Amino acid sequence: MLRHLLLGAVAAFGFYILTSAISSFNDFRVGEIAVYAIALAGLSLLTGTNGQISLGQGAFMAVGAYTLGVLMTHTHLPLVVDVLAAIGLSGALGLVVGMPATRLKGPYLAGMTLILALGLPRIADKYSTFFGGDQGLTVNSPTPPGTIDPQRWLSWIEIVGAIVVLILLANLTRSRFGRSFRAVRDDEIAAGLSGIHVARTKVLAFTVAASCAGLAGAFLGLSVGVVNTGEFSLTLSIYLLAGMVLGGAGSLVGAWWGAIVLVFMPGWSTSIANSFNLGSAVGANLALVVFGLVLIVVIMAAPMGIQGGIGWLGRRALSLVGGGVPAPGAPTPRQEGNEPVGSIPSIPPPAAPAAPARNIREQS
Amino acid sequence: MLDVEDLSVSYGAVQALQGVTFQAREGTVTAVLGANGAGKTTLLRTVSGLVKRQSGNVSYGGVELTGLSVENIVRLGISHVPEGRGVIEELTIDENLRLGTLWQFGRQERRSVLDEIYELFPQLAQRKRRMASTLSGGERQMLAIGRALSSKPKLLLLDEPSLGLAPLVTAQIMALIQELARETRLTVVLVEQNVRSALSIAEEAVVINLGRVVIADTAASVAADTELRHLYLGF
Repeated sequence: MLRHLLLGAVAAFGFYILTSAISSFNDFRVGEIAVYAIALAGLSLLTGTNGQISLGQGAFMAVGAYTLGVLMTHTHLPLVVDVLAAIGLSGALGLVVGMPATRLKGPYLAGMTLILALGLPRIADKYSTFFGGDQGLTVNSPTPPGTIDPQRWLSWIEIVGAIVVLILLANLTRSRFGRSFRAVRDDEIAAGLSGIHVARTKVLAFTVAASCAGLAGAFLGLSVGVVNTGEFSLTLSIYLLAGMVLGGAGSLVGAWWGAIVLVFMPGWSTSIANSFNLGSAVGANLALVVFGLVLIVVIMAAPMGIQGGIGWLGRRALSLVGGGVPAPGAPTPRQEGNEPVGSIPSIPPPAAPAAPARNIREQS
Repeated sequence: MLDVEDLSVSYGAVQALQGVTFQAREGTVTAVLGANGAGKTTLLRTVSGLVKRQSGNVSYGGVELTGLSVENIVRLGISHVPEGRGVIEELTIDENLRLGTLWQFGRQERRSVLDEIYELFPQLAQRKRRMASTLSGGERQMLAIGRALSSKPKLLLLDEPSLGLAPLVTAQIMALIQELARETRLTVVLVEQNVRSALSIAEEAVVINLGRVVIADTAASVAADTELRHLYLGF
């Protein structure tokens, strides 16, 4: 807990220095990284830690963004209330969706959440007078105090939001809930037989992930200044899932790596397209190709994503320097010679009953 | 006391259990024996709520278990060690053992429950922080039993604890089960293919064939019945 708070404080300070030093546009991008990190961290908890695959994270972001947009357009509540409502409503929807999802696994769950990603934005199209239709809803950025650059102020809000969310999630995954999440992912029957409420655990993970997406969606709306369905296409959900895998499924630090890739990759691929004179049609779609390639390369080189790869490199470096400090939980070769296999010293060896020699004969 | 009364279970058209009735007394080991496909595993899974019954009743200490969810049955003090170990491979040994204590006990009591289990299985204590996936078969079985004990159960359901283990390890685990039943007044229902080992530590034995109880008697008299042994137990 204290460690997470300290890490959070250090990260906040680092971001403060960073955002003060760079241009307003780069502030916008740093803010976007924070936004995606929130969405990815939630998804990482759901898919990486709890084992439920979801293509609906983008749809929950849409719910958050539209909640903010609708509240801003039709009411005059303070921004904090709008954002909390966005978190609450998407979390509530996550709860509702999570309940049937407890009965589904793997491709079936992906299919169900895919419908969510495809269908939810259509609702906004259908009721265009309320949700703004193609034009979307206009969202006003918060007014910064004093002479701070508005873009920088918004980035700070997003960064603080991301750090708070990640500290909360880090504590959650280290707690009994985190252990339950992992137990349910690994073996539902064994988890249930340990007294864990399997269905409740899965619904909780869904709710937490959806709440994160809701916050990320609301922040994204604030960043862009407008909420429309185009922002929350199926592509966004797929990007998020891929970004989560890239960063490292189940890793909260990995969420930052994934977010960085998601924010910068479109720019990189566009500049690649430009340098080869590939025309705008190719340039627009090249991002998807490059993303696919990056994903394939990362998964082949580091199956646990970027964060997993960094951890592996770190351990390798440590073992080269210090002669081998095994990482916690890393499989180390068993030393068979030191202990008799399966001995139970505190229990006296069985007397007459189960004589081993006889057992061998009757089993053969 | 575990009271199973006229229990029937079916998987679609297949009748897995038909009118099964038997009791298991507190502080004793009751062996459930029979050939492959006799319905032994189904019986345990029905008691712990993993399989829904068709008709009949299961109760423990007068508390009706039928219709309760798996988690709630566990919380009533019934632990099931499923076939194939039932440990969570991607958690450490310590985390596995803590699972059973998550939903009950204060911090103090949780510590003492874990200490007791580590005392019972010293080689698990040496490897607390290791992933369960790195354990050998025998150690996994110990971890699975340890995890089942971590919720301080009154009834322990063991499904083939000897499966795939060396005879020496099997003998040690059997001795442990017997000691647990005697010293902690635990009710143990033991499903086993290893008939001789099971009969050697059990007080009572229930022989099941094709989903029906053939005989429910003391372990000694089942072991002494040559014809029964030839017909259903294969030795």
